[in-house]
Amino acid sequence: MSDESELLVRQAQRETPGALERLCDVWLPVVLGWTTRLGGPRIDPEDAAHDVFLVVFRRIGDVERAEAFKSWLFGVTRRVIAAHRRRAWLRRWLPGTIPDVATPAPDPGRRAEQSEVAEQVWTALEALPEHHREVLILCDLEERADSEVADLLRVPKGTVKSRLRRARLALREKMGDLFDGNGIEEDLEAVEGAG
Amino acid sequence: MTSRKPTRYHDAIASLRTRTSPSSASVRRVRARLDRQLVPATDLLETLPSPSLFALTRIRARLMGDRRTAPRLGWLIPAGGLAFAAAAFALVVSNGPGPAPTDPEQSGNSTASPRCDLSTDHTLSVGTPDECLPTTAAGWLTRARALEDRGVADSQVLAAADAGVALGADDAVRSELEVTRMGALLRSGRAIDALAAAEAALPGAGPDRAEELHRAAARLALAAGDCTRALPHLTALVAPTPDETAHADRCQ
Repeated sequence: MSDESELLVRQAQRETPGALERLCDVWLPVVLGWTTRLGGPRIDPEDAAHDVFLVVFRRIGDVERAEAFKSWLFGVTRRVIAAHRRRAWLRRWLPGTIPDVATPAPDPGRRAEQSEVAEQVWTALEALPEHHREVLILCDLEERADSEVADLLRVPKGTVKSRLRRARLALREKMGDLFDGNGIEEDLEAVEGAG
Repeated sequence: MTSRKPTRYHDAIASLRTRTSPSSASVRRVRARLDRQLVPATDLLETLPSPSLFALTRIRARLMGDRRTAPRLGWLIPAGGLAFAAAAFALVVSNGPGPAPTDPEQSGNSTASPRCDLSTDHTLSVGTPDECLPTTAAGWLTRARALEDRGVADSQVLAAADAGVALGADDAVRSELEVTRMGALLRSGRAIDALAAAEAALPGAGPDRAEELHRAAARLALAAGDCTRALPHLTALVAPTPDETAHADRCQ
């Protein structure tokens, strides 16, 4: 984590004016990315990110080591997303109670074909177990290093690698028709080689 | 499914990366909402009562802010009363005689986790974490919802809602407590108990909420194979779906 973030965490804990605001500036885009990708299409990522920061404002004092803020923040995000996903599940039981959440507005310039592929990958990701989805999103979508993902998930680096391999294979399984006959094996090997 | 060109793995991932990248407009929207929560401590201090009011050793916490999550700073104020807390920061300005501090650096800061309820005074010490538990049914409802938002175990959400029900409340609050119970019970796989909670929530529920509750109760009863119990809920629906109408006809 950057020195600036560590400093901001310490300042926020001391209630230095403006520190929480600046911390919010730095980390909100990251958290919004997590709530979008890890939350999936059925939750409102903005609502979830908002709730994550409410926890941050309330609990910043609980962060024991400023350098561990990122993994702490990720843990908070995970719990908030879990709550939002549960509520999304409830919405299916109670149709009409809460308007269905719209997914983020597509970029007008995006090509329809890309969008369709993205939707299919997202749907397939949603069908993966949470621990596979998380590692795949953090490693492949967000292109984070194994060691960083290990810190975020608080698991050994070897676990990240093994989960990632299984997650990729599971995604391939789900997306078989999309990848058929197009060198997915080689593609995966290349990705794994790079990781 | 429409036909499309097969895609390589990294292309597909890149496509999703683009699709799910938060836009700057989205970041701004969330930031604007959060700005309303970020009340600088210095602004709060300006609203503190005059120093003479702090010459008491037994004081109560008053918590400010959003009732749902109570995230804002509050401060200790003699006889101020405890509004609510799922958990909140209390800015402890003094726990003894002396003037109120004039800037945040001079004041203590603690998370209020207290057992301070309205029936007894409770002294919060500077820098000592403490927790405020609700003392009213409405407070327990807020706490239950905040716990739910925080993603804690459903048993804790249920316990908070149960505590609120046990205190007694007006119909509207009791109804919402039962709705919260229903959610926790459903997630815990206790469908029959959830059905009972839905039914208990009906008295006091407004028209829209009642429609939702009848729909939920009907589904739960049907899922349990109990047509007799489902029927009054199905027939009470103001705007039944074709499936619900068919089930109502079948259960008649």
